[in-house]
Amino acid sequence: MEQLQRPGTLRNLWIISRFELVRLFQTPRGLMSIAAFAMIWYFILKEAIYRISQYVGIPGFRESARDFLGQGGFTNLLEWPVAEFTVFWLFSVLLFPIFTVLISSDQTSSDRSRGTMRFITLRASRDSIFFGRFLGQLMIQALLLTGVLAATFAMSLWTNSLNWAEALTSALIMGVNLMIVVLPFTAMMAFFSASVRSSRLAIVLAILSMGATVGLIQLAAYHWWSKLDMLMYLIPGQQLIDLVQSNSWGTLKHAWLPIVQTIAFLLLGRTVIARSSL
Amino acid sequence: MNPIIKCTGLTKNFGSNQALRGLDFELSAGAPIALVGPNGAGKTTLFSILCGYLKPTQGNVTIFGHQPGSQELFGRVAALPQDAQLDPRFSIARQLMFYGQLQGFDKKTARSEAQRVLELVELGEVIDQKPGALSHGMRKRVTIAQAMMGNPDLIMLDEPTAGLDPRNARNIRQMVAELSDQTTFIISSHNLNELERLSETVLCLEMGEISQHSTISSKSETGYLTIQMDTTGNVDPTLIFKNLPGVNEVTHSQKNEFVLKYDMAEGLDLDQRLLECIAENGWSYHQLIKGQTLEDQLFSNA
Repeated sequence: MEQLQRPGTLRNLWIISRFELVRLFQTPRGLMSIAAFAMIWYFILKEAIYRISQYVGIPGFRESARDFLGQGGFTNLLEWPVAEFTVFWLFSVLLFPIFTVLISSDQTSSDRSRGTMRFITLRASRDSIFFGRFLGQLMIQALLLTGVLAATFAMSLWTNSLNWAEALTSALIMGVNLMIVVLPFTAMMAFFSASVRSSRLAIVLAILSMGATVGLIQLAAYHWWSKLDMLMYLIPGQQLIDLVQSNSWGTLKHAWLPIVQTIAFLLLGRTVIARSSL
Repeated sequence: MNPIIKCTGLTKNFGSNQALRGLDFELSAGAPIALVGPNGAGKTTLFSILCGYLKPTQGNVTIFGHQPGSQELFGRVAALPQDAQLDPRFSIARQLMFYGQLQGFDKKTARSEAQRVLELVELGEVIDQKPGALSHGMRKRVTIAQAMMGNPDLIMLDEPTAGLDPRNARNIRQMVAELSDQTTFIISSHNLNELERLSETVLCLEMGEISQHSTISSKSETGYLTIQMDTTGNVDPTLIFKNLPGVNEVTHSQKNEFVLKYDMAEGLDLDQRLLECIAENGWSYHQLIKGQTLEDQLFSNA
């Protein structure tokens, strides 16, 4: 028997994050999640993106839509050069955070509940486990996102093959942006998953705490001090409206908020997992 | 010899309940160490602190000179934690290989190591099955096998044979006995007969405190003989045993079982005289044990 490599935090972090892919692609529950995700996006692509993009390409429609969207400040939506990606952008910015909350809700909770975490912590640090699982979830989301972007790209080529370079650029910009969008949601679920012992409870807690925090901040800002509204920046997804109103690489100017939120949630989650009893 | 485990003033509180009360002890490498005590004595809490699952409220613990749960101990310390289960979604091979890779093995070596440890617990054939396909006892043996991955220096087993059938419990005891020259085992169990066969050192916890820390075969000026009688007619043999030369005290420990406490210097051949005494009185006996059972050692003065 030969022990080839000395276990280290980074090496174990990488092993743990890769194991998350096994969890998704080699377990019935993971495969069912992928099937559900694919089914939902099939209908979005077929019934929404394809149909709406047909109208977006019509000049008259664009003018009407510009008037309508202009009231909400969303005229930049129409500046995306490929119609399919315009519609994709609108759907994905809203749907990916929801998928993230559902898919990444069980980062550590069930392993702690079952006691499996006790076997793992004798071989890997709690940091490796916590950050490894987080990284694994990001890898999963990157794969799912790549799949959906590829499908949208293929659809845009099918309807208008001349725009392939612009479609590819849009896909790249949206891919980068959407990964930044899901970062704080994944980190938030890492925190809630470390705090409770069931994935369902983590989801419920995430939804309730986001709702309650928004309500409390609005109430406090209305009754006491309007500047308390700034606390809304604590809520993941706070930049989404601004993001939809932007286009091209200018979208990245909103990236600072989700990145700061991600760091904050990861620090919170790490503190919880480091102190928790197993 | 340097202690492998050193505890100083180890205290653990759960709210107002004090589970461990300032434990001070050192354990050295070698023969298996028994951790005994009644329910609620703090055995599992102590195990959990040693494994790094719980943090002590006060005091200090080191294992091989390092804090429990620290990276230096990965692969050197393993455990069978109470009630911990493998993930039902993955095959046993997948999970043991994952643990092996975390310990530093490559994928291929981790697979062969998983096969080796499963064969130690006579479950080599279930490697590709999922835990849900196994019985409770088989799952327990698989979790014992995971503790053997990579031949750790210290293995802590919390109730390793609880829920196992007698044959498999015996196999686990044999395996511990065979591996104990290369690995130090700490075994928590309520089965005192089992611990008596395996262990030399006993750490007895009671109400969160160490009530005894001793070696089973310790040399002493006082000797013990434990005799289990079959028939004594209607006669109580206590007084007759007490009159044997060298005998200081006779205790009727259980039904038909008597413990003779004697002076080692005077009672060198007491076992022979005891058997002669039984024959002279026309009684018969079931078993004669040189020394005390672990149960009597621990609880006779309770």
